[in-house]
Amino acid sequence: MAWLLSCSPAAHAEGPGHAAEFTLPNGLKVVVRERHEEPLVAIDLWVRAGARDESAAEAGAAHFLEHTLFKGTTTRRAGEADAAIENLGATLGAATGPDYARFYTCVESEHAGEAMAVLADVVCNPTLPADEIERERAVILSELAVRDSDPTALLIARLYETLYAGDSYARLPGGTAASIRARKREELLAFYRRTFGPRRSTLVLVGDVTPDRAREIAAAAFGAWNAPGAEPIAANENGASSRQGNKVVAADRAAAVPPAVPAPPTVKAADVSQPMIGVAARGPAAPNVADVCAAQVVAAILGQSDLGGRLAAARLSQTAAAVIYAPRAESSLFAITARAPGAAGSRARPGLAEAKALRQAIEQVLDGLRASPPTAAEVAAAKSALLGRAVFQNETDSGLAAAIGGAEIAGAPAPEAWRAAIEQVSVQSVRTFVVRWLDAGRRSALILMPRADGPDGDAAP
Amino acid sequence: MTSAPVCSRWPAPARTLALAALVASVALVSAVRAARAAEFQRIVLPTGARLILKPVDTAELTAISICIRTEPDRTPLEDAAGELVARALFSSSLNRSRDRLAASIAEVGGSLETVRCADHVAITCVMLPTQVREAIYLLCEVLKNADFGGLDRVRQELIAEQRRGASGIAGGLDLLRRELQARPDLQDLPYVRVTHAAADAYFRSRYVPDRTAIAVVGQFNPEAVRTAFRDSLADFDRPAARQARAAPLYGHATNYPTRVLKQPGADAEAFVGMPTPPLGDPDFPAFVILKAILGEGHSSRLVQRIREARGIGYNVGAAWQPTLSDPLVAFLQTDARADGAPSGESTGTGSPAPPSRSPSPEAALRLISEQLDDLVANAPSEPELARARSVAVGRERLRHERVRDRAFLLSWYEAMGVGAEADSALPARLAAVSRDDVQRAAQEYLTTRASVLLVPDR
Repeated sequence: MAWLLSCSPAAHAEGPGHAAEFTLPNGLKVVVRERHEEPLVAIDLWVRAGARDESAAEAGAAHFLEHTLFKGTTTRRAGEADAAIENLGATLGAATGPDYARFYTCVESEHAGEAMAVLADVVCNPTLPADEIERERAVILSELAVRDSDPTALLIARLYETLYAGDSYARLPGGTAASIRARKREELLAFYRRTFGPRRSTLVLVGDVTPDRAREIAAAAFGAWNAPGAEPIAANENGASSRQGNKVVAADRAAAVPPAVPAPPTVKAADVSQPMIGVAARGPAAPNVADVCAAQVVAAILGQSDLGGRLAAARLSQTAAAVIYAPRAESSLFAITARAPGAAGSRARPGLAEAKALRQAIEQVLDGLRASPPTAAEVAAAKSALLGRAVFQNETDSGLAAAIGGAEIAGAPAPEAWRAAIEQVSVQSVRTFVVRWLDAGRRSALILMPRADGPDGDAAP
Repeated sequence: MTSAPVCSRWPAPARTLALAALVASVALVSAVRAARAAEFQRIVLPTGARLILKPVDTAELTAISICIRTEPDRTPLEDAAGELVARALFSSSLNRSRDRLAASIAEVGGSLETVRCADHVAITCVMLPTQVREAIYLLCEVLKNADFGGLDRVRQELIAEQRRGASGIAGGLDLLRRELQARPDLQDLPYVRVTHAAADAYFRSRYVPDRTAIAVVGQFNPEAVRTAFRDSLADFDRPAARQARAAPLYGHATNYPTRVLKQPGADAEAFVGMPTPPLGDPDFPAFVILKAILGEGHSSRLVQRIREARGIGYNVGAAWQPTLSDPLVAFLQTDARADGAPSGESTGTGSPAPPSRSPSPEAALRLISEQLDDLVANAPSEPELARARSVAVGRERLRHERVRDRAFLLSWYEAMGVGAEADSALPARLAAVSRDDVQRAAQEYLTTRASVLLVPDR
C-alpha cells in the first residue's frame, strides 16, 4: 500500500527547499526542487506517451516502446546506456502507466549532467533495432506473465474493464500477451513519433542542484530535442483527451460524476489460489482536486494501510482487505479488495459461499459510510495520517521527484497545493463525496474464483 | 498492489519481495561525505546496552531502531517461541497505552515494525519529532516488560499462516533460507506447544542488554534522548545467556535436492540459493561486489547474458540482503504460458501471433548454474569489477537516504559486533576489492547451492 501512495499523483506533500519551474525553447517543461541534505539528484522525465495514447490497434505499443528505447541509440549500442549510467554508480529505470512513460535515475550530483545526457540520448535518439525488438518481445511476455499471476492486479484489471467498458482506460497499460506478440517495429516507431517530444514532456529534478545548474544541464541534454510529429494535444480514437501541451485541462469529464453502473455482481474463474473479492466504483480524476482529496480521506478512514479504521472494525483486515485509490488524468477507481479466508482452523480452501459473504461485508462497510457518516474525529485522523505519510514518501529525492512528476502528468496539484487541499477537506465534503461517488448504484462487485472451483463463465452470485 | 497498473523495464519491489534490493538506483560516495556520515555519539548505558545518537537537524522525521543480536534457533520449539515473541512484543493486555501510542504513531504517518531474522531482531519506529519522548517510553517498556498478553491471538494468526502455507516467491525464498540455514521445520505447528511461560523465558534470555544496540537518527535533542534512555533502561539489566561463541548461520550440508513448488498463474521462477559470509568476515566486501557482478543492474552477468542476449526472462538477477540474514539468491523468472495467445484474446490487429520462447524451469536453473560456474572458474574482467564497485558503492549511498534506514543500519552494525563505524567504512572497503578477492569469494561461497523451482499448477 505504501507503493500505491507513492504512485498516486496527488499523494504527496511539500518538499523542503527552493522550487523553480521553467520551459526550454523547444517546449520542454523543467521542474526543480532544490535541497542539499544529500549530494544526490533525482532525474525524472515524464512523457505523455502512456497506454491512454494508444489506439485500440496499437495496444501494448507504449509499454513495448518503453522497453525498446534502451536497445540502442544513434551513438550507443544496446546495453551501452545502462553501462554508462552504472559506471556513474546509478541505474536507469523506466515505467509505463496509463497516462505516461517515465525514465528516471538518481545519481551523485557531480554526475548529474552526464547521467542526464545518457537519459536524453535514450529518449531522443532511439534506433529501435529489429533484432533487439524481437529479443525484448520475449522479455515483455515474461513480464506480463508475472503481472497476470498477481491476483490483486488481475482483480483490479477486471474491475477497470467493467467500470470503464469502451474506454481506453479499460485496457491494461502493459498490453496483453497477444497484443505484445502482434506489435511491429513500424507501429512502435509511429507511436514514438506521435507521442515522444519536448512539448509533451516534463523533466523533474530534485536534490542537490540549483535552478541555474538545472537549466544548464537540461539545455545541454535536451535542448536539441525536436519532435515535430509529437503534437501537444493527444488525439486518440476516442477523442476524449483533454490534454493540451504540458497542462492538463480539468475537462468537464474529469470533474463530472459518472453515470450509475447497473452491472450486477459477477463471478469469474481466474488463476488465483484463493477467492478474490473486489467492490469498486468509478472515482474522480486527478484534476478534480476537491473530490480527489475527499476520496483520499475516505480511503484513510476505511483503512488504507494497517491503521485500523472501518475495515478493521468490521474484522475485514484479517482478510487482507485493502482500499485501492489512485487517480489518473481522466479516471480513477475507488475499490476495496479482499482475499477470502478459510474457516478458522481449517485447511480447506474457501468457497463461493465465503466469497459472497465477504462481498456482502464489504458492501456493508461502504453502505455504513452513508448510514454512519464519518465523524470529525475520523476525518481529522485521516488527514493527519495522509499528511504524515506524505512526509515519509517525499523524504527521498526520488520519492519527491516521482510525486511531482506524477502530479504534473495527471493534472493533479503540485505537492504544496495538495497539502493545502487536504487541509481544506471538511466533514461535509467527505460526506458529500460518499453520497455522490460511492452510492450502491454506482458500485460494481466482482469475485474471482480459482479455476478448479469456479464457473467457466459469468454468473450472478 | 496497484490500482493504476504500471509496467516497467525492471521488476517492481512489491513483486520481488526480498529481491527488491536490485531496484535501487545508486550513486558514488566520496571519502569526505563518508566521514561526515560517521559522525555520531556512542553511549554505553550502565546495563550494557549501547546507544548511538545521530542528530540530523534538517530531517522532518526521527527514527529509533533497536537491534538485538540473537543466535539461530535450532529446534522447532525455540524457533516457534522466537517467532511468537517477536510478533507479540507490542500486544500487551496490561498496558493499553502501548497500543495507543503505536496507533498514534501510525495516525501521523509513522510506523512501528518488528523484523525477526535468523540472527537478530530489529524494532524500528519512525515518527514526528514531537513523538520521540513518548516513543522512547513505549520502546523501553517493551524491552523491559513485554507481557505477551496478546500471545494467544498472535499464535492463532501464525497457525493460520502456517496452514495456508507459504507460496509464490516468498515461499520459495523461505524454503531456500530454511534449507541452507538448517532452520527447523515448523510443519508440525509447534506454536501450539509454546506456553506463556516459555515465551517469557525465551524473551528474557534473548532480549538482553549486552546484545542490544539502539540508534536514533533525525531531528531530536541528543541530551534529552540520552537522558530518557538512560533513565528508562536503568532496570533493563538481564544477564546474557551463556554462549561460548556465535553459532554459524549456515548448515554444513553441501548438496541439496531441487525443490519444486506449485503456484497459480502464468510464470515460473528458478531460484538458486547460496551461503554468504558473516558481516565481520574479511570476504564480506568482496561478496558484495561478487553479487553486483553476478546480478545487480542491467549490465550484470545474469541480465546481460540471459535476458539481454537471449531474450529470456524478465525478473532476472541476484539478491542478497545481509540485513535480513538472507542467503544469496540468483533468480530467473520466465513465461510459462503455452505458445500462442490464449483463446479469445485480441491482438489488436488480427494478425497471427508469433510464438513465445521460454526455457523449461529446469533449463532456467541450468542457465543460472552456468553463470555461477563461470564466476567460480574465472575472475571478472577489470571493467566488470569497476562497474560492480560503482554500483555497490552507489547503492550504499541510497541506503542512507531515509532516517529509518540510517537508524537501522547503525543499530545493526553495532549489535552484530562490528561497530557502527562499519557503516560509513563500507564504501571504502568496497572500492578496494580486487579481482582476486572476488574470485576467492566465488570459490568459497558459490559452490554450495540449493535450488527451488516455482511452476504453474496447471
